[in-house]
Amino acid sequence: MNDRIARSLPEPVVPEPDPGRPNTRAFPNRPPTPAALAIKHLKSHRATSAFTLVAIALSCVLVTAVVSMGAAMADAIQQRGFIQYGHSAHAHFQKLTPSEAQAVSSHPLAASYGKTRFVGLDTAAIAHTPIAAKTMDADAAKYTLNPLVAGRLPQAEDEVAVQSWVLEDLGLPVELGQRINLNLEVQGKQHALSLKVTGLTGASKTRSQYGFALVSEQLADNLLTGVDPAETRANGTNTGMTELYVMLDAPTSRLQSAFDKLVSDTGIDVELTNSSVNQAYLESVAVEAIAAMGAGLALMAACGYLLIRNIMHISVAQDIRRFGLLKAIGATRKQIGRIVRFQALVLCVIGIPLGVALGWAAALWLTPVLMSSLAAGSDYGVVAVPWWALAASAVLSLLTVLVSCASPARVAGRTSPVEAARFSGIALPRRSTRRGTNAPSVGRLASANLFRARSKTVVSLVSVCVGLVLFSVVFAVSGGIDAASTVKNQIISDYVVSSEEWFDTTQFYWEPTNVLTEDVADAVKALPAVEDAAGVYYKREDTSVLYGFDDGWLDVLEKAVVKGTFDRQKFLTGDYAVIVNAAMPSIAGAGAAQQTEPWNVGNKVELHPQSTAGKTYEVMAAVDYDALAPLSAHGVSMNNAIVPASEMRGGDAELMMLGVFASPSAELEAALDTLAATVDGLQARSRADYLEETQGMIQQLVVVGGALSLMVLAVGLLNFATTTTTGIMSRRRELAMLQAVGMSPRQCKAMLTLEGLSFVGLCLVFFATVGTLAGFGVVSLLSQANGVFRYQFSALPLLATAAPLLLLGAALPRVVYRTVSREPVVTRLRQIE
Amino acid sequence: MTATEEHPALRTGGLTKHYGSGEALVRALDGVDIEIASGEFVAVVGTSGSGKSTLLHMLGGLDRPTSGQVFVAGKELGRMKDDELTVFRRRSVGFVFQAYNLVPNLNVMENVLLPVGLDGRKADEPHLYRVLEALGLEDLGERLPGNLSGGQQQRVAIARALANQPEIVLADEPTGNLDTKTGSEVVAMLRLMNREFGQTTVMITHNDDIAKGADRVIRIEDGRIAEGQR
Repeated sequence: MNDRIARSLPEPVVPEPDPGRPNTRAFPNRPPTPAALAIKHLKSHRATSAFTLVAIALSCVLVTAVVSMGAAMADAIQQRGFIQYGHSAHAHFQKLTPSEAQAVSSHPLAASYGKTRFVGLDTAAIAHTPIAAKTMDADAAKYTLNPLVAGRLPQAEDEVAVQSWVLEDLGLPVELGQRINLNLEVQGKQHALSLKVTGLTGASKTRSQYGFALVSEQLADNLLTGVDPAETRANGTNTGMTELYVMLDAPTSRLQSAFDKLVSDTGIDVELTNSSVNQAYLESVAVEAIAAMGAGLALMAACGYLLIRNIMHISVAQDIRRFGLLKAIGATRKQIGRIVRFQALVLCVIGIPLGVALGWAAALWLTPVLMSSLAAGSDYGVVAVPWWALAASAVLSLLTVLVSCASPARVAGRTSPVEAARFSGIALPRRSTRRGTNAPSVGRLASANLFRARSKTVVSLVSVCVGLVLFSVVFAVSGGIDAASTVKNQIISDYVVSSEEWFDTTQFYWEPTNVLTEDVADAVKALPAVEDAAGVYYKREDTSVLYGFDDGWLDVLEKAVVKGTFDRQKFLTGDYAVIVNAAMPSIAGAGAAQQTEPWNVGNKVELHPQSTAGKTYEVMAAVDYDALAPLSAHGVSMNNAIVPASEMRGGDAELMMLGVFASPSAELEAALDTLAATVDGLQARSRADYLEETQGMIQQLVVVGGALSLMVLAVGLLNFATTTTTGIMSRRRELAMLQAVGMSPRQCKAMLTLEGLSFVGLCLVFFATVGTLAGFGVVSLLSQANGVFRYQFSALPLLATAAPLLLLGAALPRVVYRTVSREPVVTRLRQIE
Repeated sequence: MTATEEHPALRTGGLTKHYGSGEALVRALDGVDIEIASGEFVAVVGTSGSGKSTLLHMLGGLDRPTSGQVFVAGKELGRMKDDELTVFRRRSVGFVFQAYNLVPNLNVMENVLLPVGLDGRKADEPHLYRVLEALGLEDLGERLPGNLSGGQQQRVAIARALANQPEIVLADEPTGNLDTKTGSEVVAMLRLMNREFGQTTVMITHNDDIAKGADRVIRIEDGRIAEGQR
């Protein structure tokens, strides 16, 4: 037969080369590099390449979002810490003599510093707010968060720079060139000064108990003539003392040791000079926060890893014959692995910048939402994602991609040239589990197919389930926040009337504003529906805060007792006081240290409820701080005493807030709002307002958590989509064979649909069991830490996700099948033969 | 006269199949008229690209002709809708492919029973065991295709083709993936089954030696019958 064929063929004719015509055909003069082969592969498998690109970008979005949110939050917490501790420098030295200041500032560990010198106080110019006169250089102004916003710092003796609100409170226009009159007391001597405003600084009034008047060195030298800093320090005052705000030449983790070295080198007495490292730097790197961010990051990176790995495996399977061929002609494992990695790296060039940009945008959107839910009502200002966070995200994403390529590269490199032709990416089962002569149904075929590509199916299953479990946890946590008990910690009465400043819990110091007067209180009491209006009086003493409680609060007080006994009759005689237990967890360090010996049940303490005249009270009981939190001023970290309101009314104490007890009605609310509108700075809030705020916070938590878990879920679904698509594609010939032996297209679609639905069904079972347990576990943990959490089962997240997932599980295989079945059965049967 | 004598098991009239158009027109089949009697064992031979596989696909209702008709047991396939053709295939035609085409994750028994299952019926157990026994598969029921030799796999494929007791068995190069000895055994099996169960069998091959065992040899060249037309 071969002979016959040979005979029938014409003699081969080799064309004579034409000497007049140069060979115009361009042969490649270089062998193809791994890079060229990788790009060729990407071009010839556009769909897989697009999937891989999306997978890389999505993984990068997840990683970037978590890193950026973590970094932005750490930054915001640090900014908040700066405000809380009053400065942004690494270390603060409060009471230095000029020679000590010289020693500190010239020490090599002091990278830069700002310097101020305290001159004296004017306590009369503005009510309740003393003005401190200081010298201050530009760096110190910056570190004390009181930067110059207009004009310049004072130079001449009669020049001054002040905060804008100081001018407002003095009744002057906020303009440069104004003259202010100050009566400074400098070590017992009064100095009447008239100073010209050359600069305005930015710190708001609520940032500190003091206003600042920044004066020139020349004026300070004049006023401080004859003052010996060492002597004033020994007397416990500040006059003439130098303060240094120092940036240390050390990384954040070693600030404390650098500080200790500087102190020991210069011989500074930390206690005497009241010097310390800025806690804000130490707090922003809290272990818990790092652990939480690390866990989130690990989860996101793992999700990305699973997705990219799966897709790269599919990509390798598609090209396995070519890898076999390369192997046959002498490519090493390493070279083939390089081709696989290069495919991913080429896609990284687009995918990672895209992912970083999207992740950054997501973080900018989500961080403020998340932070406001973590600390309700707080305004953290502008959220900034530091550049290093974006760079780190890019590097981390790249690492994830490289690690994800390891296993596919190994598979490609191990390809045997002989076996490559048979490899279809689907592992063959080793053992059959069925017996008997039952004819296989469509259902049996589907179930046998579900785990055919076992590792890919398991990976898809895991990554979908991770998203679903996260989703479940987010819903359990947000649904587990008991809004009513949260509100109970914020408001005790039905309405509260007070100054806007008091309602603003973001401010660390609340200082009397004289907005809520006795007249206002009387007007509230006179409103028709009001059953009772109970006031809390407030007065700040040197080392303590004194509260005066109206009778309406005595029940609350009695319930909050943790030590001693509360006797209402005795308390109302005005000879007894109740103290607030200082063991406040949030500020335990500062609070506990200041609770000194006379402040204990059974002891006598001297308080000044009326003007400066002291009165001795016996402490009858101690109460829990948390129970009284809705009735206290902010930032309480010292000794707190409570006496009957009658002890304080009419003195120099101020009515801080008024709790209104009444059955809520629209009329009453309108009446209170009308009243509040007539007094500048007065505000009335109802329990419903607090409830609304809390619910808003819960909603925001759902938005952030939901967005993150949806991103993770999207990764899982992408995994499912690629696995399903490539699974059906690689089985096109088998499907054709099934049709040849009598499977109708309808049966074929039913089988594929069943496969998809079984997958989704497994996910949903996982969601219902593990997801529910995880949600319950997390809420239980949270409820141990915070009483406002209570687990409540809700089928809503399951039901909400079930419908779209089932739809996808049913629709995707049909869509892919439609593409596959475009080719006639006969054509598909012939393929790969 | 019996019904089968009245209608031959297989008959084609002016069967034509063209692929492409214009200059690229390929006449895979160009007016083929054949008749195959019930119970006949026919070998179709021809060179690669002669159109023999196309003929087999037409006979089995896998592909539709450009023109002409195919009759199986007197029924014209061209008049059937797709779904009817599918049901026709699984009840009346048994396919044996060159590459066995077994489902890798179903065991031997399940593979054999696949067409029965797709038809939503139960297996005719006595018939099934006769087939399995005749093919020497009775002990392999729970094995998976991946653990079988090529000859065993092709015997499973034959068993699958016979499980539904079809009127015709169509075998497309059943020995193409097998060595000579195993190939001869498989053809012998096909021949045995043809005698034992009386199914009309059409086997494609390019090997003249293998074709010699058939009742009749039809040779196709360039889409036309060159030899063996009746």
